Amino acid sequence: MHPHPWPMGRMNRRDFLRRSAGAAVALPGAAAILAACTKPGQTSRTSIEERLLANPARPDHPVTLPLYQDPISPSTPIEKGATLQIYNWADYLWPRLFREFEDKFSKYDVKVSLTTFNDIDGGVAKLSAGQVAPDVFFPDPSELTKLVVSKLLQPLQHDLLPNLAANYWSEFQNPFYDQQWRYTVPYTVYTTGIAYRRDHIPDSKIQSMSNPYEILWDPEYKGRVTIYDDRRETMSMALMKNGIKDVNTGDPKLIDMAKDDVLKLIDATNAQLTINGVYVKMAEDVYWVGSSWSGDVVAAAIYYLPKGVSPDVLGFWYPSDGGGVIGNDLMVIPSSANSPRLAHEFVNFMLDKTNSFANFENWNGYQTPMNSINPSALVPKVIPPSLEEAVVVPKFFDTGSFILGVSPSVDALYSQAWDEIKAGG
Amino acid sequence: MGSEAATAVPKARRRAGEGGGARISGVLYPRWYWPSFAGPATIWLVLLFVLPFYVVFAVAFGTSDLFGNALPVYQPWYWSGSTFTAILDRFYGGDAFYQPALVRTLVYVPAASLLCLILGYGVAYYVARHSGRRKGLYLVLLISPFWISYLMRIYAWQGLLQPDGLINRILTQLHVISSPVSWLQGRPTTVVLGLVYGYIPYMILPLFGFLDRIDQNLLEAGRDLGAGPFKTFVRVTLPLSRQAILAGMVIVALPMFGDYFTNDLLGSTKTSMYGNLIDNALSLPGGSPQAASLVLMLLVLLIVPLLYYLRSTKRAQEAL
Repeated sequence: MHPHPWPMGRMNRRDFLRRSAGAAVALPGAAAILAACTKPGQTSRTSIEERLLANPARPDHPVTLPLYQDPISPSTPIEKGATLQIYNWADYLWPRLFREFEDKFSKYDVKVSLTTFNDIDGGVAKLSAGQVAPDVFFPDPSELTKLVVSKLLQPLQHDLLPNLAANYWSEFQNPFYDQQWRYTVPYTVYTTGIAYRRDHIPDSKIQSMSNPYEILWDPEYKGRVTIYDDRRETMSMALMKNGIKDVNTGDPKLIDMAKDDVLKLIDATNAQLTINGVYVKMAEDVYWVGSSWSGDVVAAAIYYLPKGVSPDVLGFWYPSDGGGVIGNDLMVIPSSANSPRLAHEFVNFMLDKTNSFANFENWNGYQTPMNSINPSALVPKVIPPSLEEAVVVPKFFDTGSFILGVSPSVDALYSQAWDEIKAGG
Repeated sequence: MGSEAATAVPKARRRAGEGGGARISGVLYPRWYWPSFAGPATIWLVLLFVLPFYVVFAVAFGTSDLFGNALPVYQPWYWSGSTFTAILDRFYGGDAFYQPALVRTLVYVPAASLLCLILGYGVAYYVARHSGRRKGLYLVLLISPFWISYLMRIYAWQGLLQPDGLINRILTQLHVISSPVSWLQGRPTTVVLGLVYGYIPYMILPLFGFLDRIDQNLLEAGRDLGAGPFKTFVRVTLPLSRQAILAGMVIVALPMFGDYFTNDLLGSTKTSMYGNLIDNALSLPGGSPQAASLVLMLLVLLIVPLLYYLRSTKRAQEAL
């Protein structure tokens, strides 16, 4: 055994030929790798796509999103033995409905699996990075254009979704953000107002304020204030407090003002940025006042309050003229869906009157825009009288302000403002 | 005979060395034999440290897509330093809104590390020198916090420290405080104590390891030479445990610099630390290059204490 077969720098002819052949094979491979990673960040988009991104949908600027593929055929067979991947906010869909869906399609041996996200930015980022490959996803309209032009969604086959036309408000049959509802169906509707504990803050206090948003800045509730750990929601709340109804503004001065106001709020009240601050923590009496989605405070009342505590301890304020922040979440089918037919079945299942109402009434507290729900009849059957203002009515969609997509440069302004807020100043 | 045998082995080694191998117990090993033992770990390091580290560079000097996902740029000739300089500006520029978080980190981490040392040294000293037959039991107890994940334990603290939590209730009932203290509303004390709570086992264990190995004879020698218990401690035990103190400080301080969840769970934005800046950046659309740049800057910051530790360890070894 020779410990050192050939010294460095010397090789025989056979070795030389062998190594050269290896290099000849390897070099084109390396070249291919380098070619594959040419300078990124230069995605090619059509001018239509660029225009859509720069001018996202607004109620007075309806948008028809481009189609890149045909919807699946209505005769596509239901996938057998599939596990339907649902990608949704945490605590946002009644788990019993998964089981009922599995039972309904038991002859196809179907399973439902849920993956959750905590904020919409994170949810969309994971989907776009391919870290999840869901069959059904629950975004909101603000991200829709980006999702479509990035070819992450597939168009819906309307023939497989008869429950939409049969059950839902006309506003959602042809919404401005997705004309002809090519990609989306509604999931829930909500408003953003102020939730409070009535055992600590009387209704009269909020109602007597000329600008009730200011209660979130009140140092009297130091340590008891929660605002959403959600970039656009919290910035919108600060814009609203300052009377700015255009919550999608791209004016750097207004964004800066809203940011400074949120910093002042945190300074004055030690407010915590949370997502479950209302539906879990206010129910547990940790926080007394906070910006709140209507569905969160209703969920707190119907599900999260400790036993023996009356739902009347919770109150909700929303501008009486209906001019606050409103929104709706969506159901979409990503283009990566492995079981697109089953995904359609699930979406239609969730658009069913009974299932949709059961989800609202028993679990998430978020109203669905269904004709069969008479908003004025929800109190007190589902929603306690103290939360009457959490009821969403169709006219809010004429008077309220939608948080919608903004151009990438404006989005960067919101991001920087949020970064500064979270860095703590 | 004996002296011949003693000189014979080095000669054999020298000869084998000249030939490129090594002869131990009469077997000639090829030159690659012993280094190959480090092979698996080297491959591991290259695959899971060096390459990912290069990716961090590629992300920091790269760009991001429409959704803010990183688009790493692997070719250095395309690298753009724009994110890096923008981040530097947030530390030192006109709009230095990252600066307070950096300052807080530079205060909280040394404070928490020092507290870990003060509290941990006593415990380690007792277990190493005076726990007698119970040493094993105490060691198990010291490791016991690891049985439950740090996150779970911090969640437990969250419950205890809430306005109506056990701690406030006890303190109110004992009339120590008149109304509940909002411990979790961005109080530096809570965050520093949270860090101490989380990392103190990592301080105690290396200290115990060193203190346990101090030769009893050295202490007795100190006493024999007239030093009292305190003087023996100051002149013998403490200098001997200097390396352990340094090791413990490095072990606790380095992860604390990147810690974000202690503040996330026990503090607020008012107590944001460097780790939170990284975490926040990651959740922002377009934030990946920003987060990667912050990681690289933290690395530069941490190299200084790390180099000091390595230098001092090297010196200590040379002194032996």
